[in-house]
Amino acid sequence: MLEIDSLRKRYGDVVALDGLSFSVEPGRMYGFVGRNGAGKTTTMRIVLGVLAPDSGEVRWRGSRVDRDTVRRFGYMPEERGLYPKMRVLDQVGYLAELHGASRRDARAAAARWLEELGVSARAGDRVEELSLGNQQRVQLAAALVHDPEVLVLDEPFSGLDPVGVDVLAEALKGQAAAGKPVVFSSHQLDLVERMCDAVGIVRDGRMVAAGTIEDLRGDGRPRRYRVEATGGWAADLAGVTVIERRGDVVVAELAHGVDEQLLLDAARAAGPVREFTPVKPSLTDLFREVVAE
Amino acid sequence: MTANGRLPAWTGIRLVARRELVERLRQRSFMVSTLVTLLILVGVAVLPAVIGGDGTHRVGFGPGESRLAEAVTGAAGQQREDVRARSVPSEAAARAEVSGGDLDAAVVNGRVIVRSELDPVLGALLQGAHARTAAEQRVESLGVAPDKAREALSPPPLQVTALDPPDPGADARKGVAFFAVILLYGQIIGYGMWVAMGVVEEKSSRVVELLLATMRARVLLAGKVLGIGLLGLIQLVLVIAVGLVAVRLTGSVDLPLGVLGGSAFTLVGWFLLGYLLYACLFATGAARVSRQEELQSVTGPMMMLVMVSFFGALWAMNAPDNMIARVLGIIPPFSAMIQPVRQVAGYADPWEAPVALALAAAAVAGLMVLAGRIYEGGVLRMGGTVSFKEALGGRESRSVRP
Ligand SMILES: Nc1ncnc2c1ncn2[C@@H]1O[C@H](COP(=O)(O)OP(=O)(O)O)[C@@H](O)[C@H]1O
Ligand SMILES: [Mg+2]
Repeated sequence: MLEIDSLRKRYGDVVALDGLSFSVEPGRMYGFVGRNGAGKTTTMRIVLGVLAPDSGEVRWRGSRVDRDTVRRFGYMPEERGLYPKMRVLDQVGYLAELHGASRRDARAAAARWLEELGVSARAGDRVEELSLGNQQRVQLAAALVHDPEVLVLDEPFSGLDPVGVDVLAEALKGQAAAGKPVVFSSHQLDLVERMCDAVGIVRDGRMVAAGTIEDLRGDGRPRRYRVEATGGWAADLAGVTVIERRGDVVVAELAHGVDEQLLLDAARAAGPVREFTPVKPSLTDLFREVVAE
Repeated sequence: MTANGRLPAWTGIRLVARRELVERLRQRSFMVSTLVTLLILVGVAVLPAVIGGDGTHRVGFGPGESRLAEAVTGAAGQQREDVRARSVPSEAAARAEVSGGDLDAAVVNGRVIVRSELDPVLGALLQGAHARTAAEQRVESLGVAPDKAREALSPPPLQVTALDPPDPGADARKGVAFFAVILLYGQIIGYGMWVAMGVVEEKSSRVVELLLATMRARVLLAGKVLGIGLLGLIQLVLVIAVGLVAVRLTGSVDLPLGVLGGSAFTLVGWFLLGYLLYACLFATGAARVSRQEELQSVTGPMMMLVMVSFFGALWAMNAPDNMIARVLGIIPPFSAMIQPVRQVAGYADPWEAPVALALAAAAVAGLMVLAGRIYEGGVLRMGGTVSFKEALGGRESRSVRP
């Protein structure tokens, strides 16, 4: 398990992290979301040892992460970075060597990942000669080339076209399926919702909501139903509040303990019911809720 | 895969240094700069031989001038001048050879034929020999035996006692010192700037964040300085080797091989120290900015130091006993260029080299530590120029192991 425990970090007067904690199980995909400046990049840099926290620690498999452990992590920084003038294969191989691979293994692994990500045809080109999308693939190869135990990616989907998004999503799923914890940050909440087993929403350097998306949705909040029936019926029902009404469609919220069958009965009594569905908030809704105030 | 996560600092330094070396060897700019340096060097070494300023006098003697010829070569031998005498059949032939450049001068029918003017040294030799042979002939014509006449007319020459005799190779050594300064200046500026640009390249391309996830900032700095320094060393040794060969082949520098080798050794040693000094300075400056355009503003002070050292060294070439030159020759970073000049030119007292070396080595050690700290503090901060205080205050890399 990758554990991020009570991280604190200030930059002068700015508190970037204020006791932030979360953990990721092996084989799980963790979505890390929050507004700009919430502290995501700072957290990831601390996990990778690029930055030292003021206090708190990061543990992997129960022991504190140090320079040697972190070399077995894979990282994609928010600010993408490769040597512009270095050739693609040389570059990815070099990074694998820095992660501890022998020269031969490093080159073989680099060639394999370039193949896998569909950029092997450009292996001999300089990075600056590649399209942005291909540079992004090389960046991913750089994060994966040493077969890391943990993957940490800072906004890996930003700037990708839909095909690139698919390639990356597949690669990440493959890594999670291989039993690695995968953490990534993103502003594309629908993508996070689709891909992730768990999410953490960070605000002002603190975790304001964390858990599986199901948990977050269910988490003690009143249930809502969307009902399409002939109108005017729900208003006088005890424990039911109409949230939204558009023509024949009503979104109703049930107070705690109110049986949803009563709502259905009432609707039926009023006329034929064409739709009766529980409404679950999307991640975007949840995000707005916890981040808004 | 074999990635076991353990990467000793030395392995990191080696990997970084190898990348710097290999990537830069591939760049055209390295090849071009090496070739240009070599061409200039060879040109300067070969030029004097081509122009013919090598001190040999080729003199033709017409019919009936054999006695003069003998006297001239004899006198030349005494004065260590190189005169090659041969006979010419006629005045017409002599004129042709002189104007064609095969002869520097010809003596026919009692006159000297030259193209434009008579070399003063050769002139003195010819006139002296002429005066003596003429006098000998007159004395003989009075009935004195030839060997008696010669003896009477050849008093032993005046002996000179020099109180402070000049070093016969002084000018040559000064010439070598001049090249040493030029080479040092070029190498230190060139490779120091490469370090600076390399640091900024990693910052501006943001690849530094990826690198720092695998190694400490000071490991990265050490590898970079080492790799680029190695490249500078390779180039310098190559240039020196070619220069030595050219000098030997053309004989344009009249110094024993031992002296030349010693100069080369001094040059290489001081390049290493000077490069390390300035590379650390350049790297700390560069770590404070994020874009190549901003580089000039932070490397300005270091450039000034290099320039002051350079002009100081040129001045010190003509100031062997000057106190300021002696002091600057010891104090880093000026010593990096001024001390080798004093060594190569032969001005330095025996104690100067060890003192200068010790001070420079101490300065390098101190600067490396300081540069490592400033680099760690500055290298991850993007945008704007990081002040030295900020950089020293906020080291960001993980510094402790549990
Ligand atoms: N190097 C830095 N110096 C000063 N403040 C910083 C630095 N890096 C980040 N911050 C501040 O820390 C806070 C968190 O930033 P960051 O971790 O980059 O957020 P996110 O990645 O979620 O957008 C922000 O207020 C940001 O301005
Ligand atoms: Mg960020």
